[in-house]
Amino acid sequence: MTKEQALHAFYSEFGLPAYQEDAVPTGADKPEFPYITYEVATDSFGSELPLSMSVWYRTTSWSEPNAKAREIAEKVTRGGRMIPCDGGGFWVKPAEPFIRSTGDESDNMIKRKIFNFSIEYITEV
Amino acid sequence: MARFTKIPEDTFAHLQLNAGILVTGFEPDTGEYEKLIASTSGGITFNSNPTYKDFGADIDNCPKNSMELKRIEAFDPVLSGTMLTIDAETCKTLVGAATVSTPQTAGKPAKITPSMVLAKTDFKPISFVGDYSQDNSSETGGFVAIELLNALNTTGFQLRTADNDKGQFAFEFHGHASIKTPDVVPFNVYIKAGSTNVGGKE
Repeated sequence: MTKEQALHAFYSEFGLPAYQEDAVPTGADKPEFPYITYEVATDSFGSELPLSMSVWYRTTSWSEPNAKAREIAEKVTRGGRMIPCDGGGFWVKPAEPFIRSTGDESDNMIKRKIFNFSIEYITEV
Repeated sequence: MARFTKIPEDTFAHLQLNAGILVTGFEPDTGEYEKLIASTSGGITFNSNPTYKDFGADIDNCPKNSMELKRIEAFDPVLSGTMLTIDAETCKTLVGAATVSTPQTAGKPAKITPSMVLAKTDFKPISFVGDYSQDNSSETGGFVAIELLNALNTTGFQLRTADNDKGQFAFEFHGHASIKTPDVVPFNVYIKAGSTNVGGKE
């Protein structure tokens, strides 16, 4: 599995459809809330990159987004997760701040949870 | 790619990760343990500290530091670090030779009384256990474990406080040999690969 495929598989573990940030369908194919968007950046052994993932809800209350955030935090764990991929793997670690809440100026019902990760690549290339 | 700028293909499978924990009652076969001793800060350091003697050092015409005449004199294995949490039992462990009078029941303090006499019960096994390899799920993760036999904190009870910060309790557990089993080195290392992690699967 390539790094990109492994990243997508990791972001897809949380029970919501996941889309790379610049590849979210639009128009008639726009996904229904909630869904996940994520950044992709890759490197090799010795490098550690900041990457983020966002969980998007459209709701009046923060309870559902907060519950999903807790669920994701428990799956990632404080020590992070090791994800295998071609040539080795990468270590997904919670970064600071790990989870941040924000909204969207265009729609006051949109609730967004931003997850900050630090990803250490342990691969030859 | 430069010829000698490489990493082993199995690097990912053989990394020790994160700071690990100090526990009592560790069972290497299952990875279970009795009690997590305390939260720590800054990681945990282990050193087996072997000492060697060169039996050829005073032999004329004998090369110095030859492998045939090198002998192990002793090991002084040490687990050191800093704890951030304390309770009566942990405090007793840090003091070394001590007794605990009363458990921490409501309204009464526990009293840890240092002793001038070391009891055999002051020495006990303590283990470091740390995550290992890419297979590090919470249920079946691999581990690197170091079991320190007959451990005693020889640097005494130490407390360091700071403004707007947590108190710190430095420790240095030394493993001890026994006259009853003179050939037993007072530490063991266990390495176990975990089962497959769920992350990254298609």
